[in-house]
Amino acid sequence: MKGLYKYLPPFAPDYSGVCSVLFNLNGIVIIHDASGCTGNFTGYDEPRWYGSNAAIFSSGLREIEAVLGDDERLINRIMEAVERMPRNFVALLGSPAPAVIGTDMQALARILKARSGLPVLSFDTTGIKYYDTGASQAYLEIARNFVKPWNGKKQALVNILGAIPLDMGKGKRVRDIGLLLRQCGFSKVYAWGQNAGLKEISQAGAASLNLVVAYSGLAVARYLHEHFATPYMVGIPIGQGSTNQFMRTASSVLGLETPPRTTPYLLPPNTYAQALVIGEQVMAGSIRSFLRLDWGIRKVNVASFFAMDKELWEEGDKFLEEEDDLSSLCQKENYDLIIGDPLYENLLGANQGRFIHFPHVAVSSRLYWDNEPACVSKQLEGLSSKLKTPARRT
Amino acid sequence: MRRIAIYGKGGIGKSTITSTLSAALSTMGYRVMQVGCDPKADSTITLTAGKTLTPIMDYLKEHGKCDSLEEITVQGFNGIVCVETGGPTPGIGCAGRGIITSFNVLDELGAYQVFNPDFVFYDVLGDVVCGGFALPLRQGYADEVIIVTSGEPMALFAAGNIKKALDNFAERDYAQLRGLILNLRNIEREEEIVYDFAERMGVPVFGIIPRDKNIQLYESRQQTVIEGDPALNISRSIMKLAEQIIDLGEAS
Repeated sequence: MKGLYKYLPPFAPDYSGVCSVLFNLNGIVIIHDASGCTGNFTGYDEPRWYGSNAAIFSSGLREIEAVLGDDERLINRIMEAVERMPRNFVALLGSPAPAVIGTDMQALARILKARSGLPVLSFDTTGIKYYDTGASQAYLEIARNFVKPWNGKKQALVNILGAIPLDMGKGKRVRDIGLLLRQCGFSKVYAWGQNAGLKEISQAGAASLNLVVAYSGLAVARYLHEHFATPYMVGIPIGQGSTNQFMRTASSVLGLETPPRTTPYLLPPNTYAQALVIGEQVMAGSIRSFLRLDWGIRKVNVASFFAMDKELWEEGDKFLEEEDDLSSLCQKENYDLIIGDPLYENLLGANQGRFIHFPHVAVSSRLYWDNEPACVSKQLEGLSSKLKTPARRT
Repeated sequence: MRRIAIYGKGGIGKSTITSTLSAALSTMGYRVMQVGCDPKADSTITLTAGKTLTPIMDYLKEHGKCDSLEEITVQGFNGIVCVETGGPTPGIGCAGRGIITSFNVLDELGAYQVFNPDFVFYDVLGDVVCGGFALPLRQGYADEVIIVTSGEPMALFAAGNIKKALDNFAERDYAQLRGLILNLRNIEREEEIVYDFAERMGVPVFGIIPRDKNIQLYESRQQTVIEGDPALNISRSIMKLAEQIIDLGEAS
């Protein structure tokens, strides 16, 4: 049935994307909900939650408040929280109920700002859109509110944009990218949504380079380019070939040179004729580069249930609106090799080549988040052995 | 761009007056956009010049999403951009949310930048009955509110409720009430009653629309009186009202 999801769980929603970006910024984050949405984020979308001191709360919305539009109660509760715990800012997020009754988050933010004196960010999240939309908005809002004007000389500073666990896992990949960037000459590497606090984010205008590692970081990279003329590059260095390119490009921003390396092909030519990577667009595109540069697979398509940007789009790529789209695509194309979250496996049909697991937290949540494959600057972990003895379709 | 929300009791003549004002302003050379905010989707019926206008919610119901303004707008009489939010059939769904969703679509498609109107009228169903119907008042949409009323008690009661809602929103930087338009029903002492009411509310009555059978005559031909016969007295009254609305903007 069209539009019916039979195999896949609900993907991480927009408010989870916002919360994830704001997680380490020492703010008070309130989801205006009855608590289920907040529980969804803390229980299933945020591997950093348990043991953290992040102040992420549910407003405890109840039926009578929704029916009567009793916003004053919400404002008073937030003011109470502000008085009890000194934090950098307040963020107010919507959920399905406020979306339906038309709660004006921007107006509430203006009132809260006037009463508390703190910066107040508001997000018209609905729980209907996906995490990438929310994360993208959150990155933009923190840039608009906290990045200071900068007219000085650019520094050896790079911001990593889009590095939330929902896309990049628990942190190792981002740390590995940071190590590469340091090798390229960057002394300051600030990953928004991971290690960067508001102090680091405020310096973003001084950056020589912004690195976008997920779709959610694209809009803010463009914003920073527009306001500070900071160039940005998109992609995650996976495998030898991509890592060489990545380091050359990143070093050149600082006027440095990185010695060229050779790019070994680990597979005999034409081992695989065509491949499909299913996932978040930047990560999937980076895996595509790896498959092309390191393993010589010429035709590699990207398909995603999440937002896809035209700048990164290639012919043959596919935006998936529903499960059936993925099944149809696989039936039509007969891919030799498919890479994606394990939960996609049931949708691929029987007549396929090898399927390689590459978990995506926004899809499979905590099922695999402790076993994320390493990938930065090397082959995808766990892929090479399987690929050496490919299962060819007959 | 001036963005004006028209509110008032159901059946008081909001759509008729809004459409006629749109038509009047368009004949003066202004670019006008009219957004009907009512599930009935009949605000712009006298402006569309016989073209079929698909309400936004109908389009979304059929297609799931909307990627083009052409699908949900019609340029009618004198190039007036006509939009209808539409909404659910009576008894189901949520009409207020329909307005929110429709406004989001217009924003996402950059409607105000694309059409760049001098005047935008939001013709809003009835009172401010819920959050969705307050959306046109919010920052980023209408800056001004005009209430249409007659001298009948229920019409004045509704006008009072709308004023009360606006007062409740004072802390939110919402649209400001500019005044009343009196749509005469020819009840006894009607002008006196409405002027007293306006004084108590602290707002002006800046237009009086006399009853005129030509309005119904041209409505039956799906036209406004401005299109039908601009020389009529009623047409001249509304042209005068349009000029007053222009002056209001210049004065502020």
